[in-house]
Amino acid sequence: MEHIDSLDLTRGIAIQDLAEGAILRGRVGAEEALLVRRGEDYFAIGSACTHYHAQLADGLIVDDTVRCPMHHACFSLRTGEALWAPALDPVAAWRVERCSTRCLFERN
Amino acid sequence: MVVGAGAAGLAAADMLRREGYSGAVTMVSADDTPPYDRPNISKDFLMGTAPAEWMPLRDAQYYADRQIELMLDERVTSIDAQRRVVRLAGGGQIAYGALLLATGADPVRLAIPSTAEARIFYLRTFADCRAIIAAAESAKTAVVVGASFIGLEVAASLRARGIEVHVVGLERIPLERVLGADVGTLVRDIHESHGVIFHLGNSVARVDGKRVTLNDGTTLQGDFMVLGVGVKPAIALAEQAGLAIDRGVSVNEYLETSAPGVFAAGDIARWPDPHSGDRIRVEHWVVAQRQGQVAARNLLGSREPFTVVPFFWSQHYDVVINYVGHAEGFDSTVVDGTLKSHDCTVTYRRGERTLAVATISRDLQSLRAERALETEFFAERPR
Repeated sequence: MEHIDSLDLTRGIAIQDLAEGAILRGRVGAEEALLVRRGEDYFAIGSACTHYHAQLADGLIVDDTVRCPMHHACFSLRTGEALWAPALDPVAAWRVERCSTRCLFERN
Repeated sequence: MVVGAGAAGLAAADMLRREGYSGAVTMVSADDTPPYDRPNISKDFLMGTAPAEWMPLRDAQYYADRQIELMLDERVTSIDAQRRVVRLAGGGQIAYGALLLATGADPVRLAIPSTAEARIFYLRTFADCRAIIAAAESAKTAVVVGASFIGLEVAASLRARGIEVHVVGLERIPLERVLGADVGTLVRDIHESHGVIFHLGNSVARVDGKRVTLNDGTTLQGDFMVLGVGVKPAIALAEQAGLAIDRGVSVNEYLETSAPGVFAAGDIARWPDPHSGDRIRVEHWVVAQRQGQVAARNLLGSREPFTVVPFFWSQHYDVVINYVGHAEGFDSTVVDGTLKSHDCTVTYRRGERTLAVATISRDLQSLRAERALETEFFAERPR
């Protein structure tokens, strides 16, 4: 696997590299992003919290949300929406396509 | 209609638009500054490490784009909940469909005998913060009254500016009632290691210019003083409107007051907390914002109970305490890890039940504890 700081998610990820419920950190273009697998669902959203810019990749996945480790803001993994304050603004959300053994990214 | 533009008010106005509500949204604020990041006025901004650009929660364009009318430096003087009309101090009245009361809290003011030249500040608004910063710029010493969250955060921020800081507090151990003796002692030690001089179990008898005399006779030199001795909910308007009051404004699980169509959120609201089983009122930023968000949806006709587990953080130099839950009247604490190394989890219990969890340097644990408190609730009351 490539070095984590430079993991370019747009090049696709081998499914086997994605553990269920684990958070994979990378980037989409210049943007920090995180990738999460939940069963057959794959989610990719921006990783910088819109409150104080903590890394959501260090947070906790709860159902189809991720919670920020710093002040517990909650974002939808599906849409990037800031579901609970203190964040008020959404993070980016990308569409993830799965093709046999890899998953790929596209901007929504 | 939203009365108040603090954490709850702004979050509510924001959510009204996010939910697609297209009618008029008016926010009336007694503050002279558009909604700002209030937690920062005792922390990094006061310290001088956060630039002014970070402070507004939203820029002017935001209010224009979303057609949120922001009336600053204005007060609602009365609410007629029957006719659904409010009167403004500046004259005129506004009819509303539904109303959110989010008037927040005001600092408790102490009547300390003092001479005219004594410089005594309170900290609640951005303007208060700027006044303290202006005073700090030429000061060498300061006396903070109140070993509270605000008092201690102010002490830390002033130390960062190189000012000699004395903290006077009635309590023997700072924050003991909320965080327990162990964490309170740790917080005191952290401040002492950064040079704060405590005068605990003590209070201010009088102030003569820069000379501050304590009840035990000690005299301190303070170029200025900051009083952080708690806040009281701003409920005068709710009382005038005839709403049910219970050490705050009484609301049901939907954050609705005793008057249909009038909701309350933030520092003033006392709600039935499903986690503790108590009717509680808390004065924390994130709780106020989340109440504003839920109240907004209920203003639009949803029936969404407020079941959020309270959360707050408090910063003391490089040590941040994260706290989930609400533990009024805990009877035991369990410490996991070590306080001294600033790496620990403290669980607050009443009997066998976990009421709250505080963590230092264990952010994931704090999130897991929050989840556990939520799960416990949903397991008891399946929806």
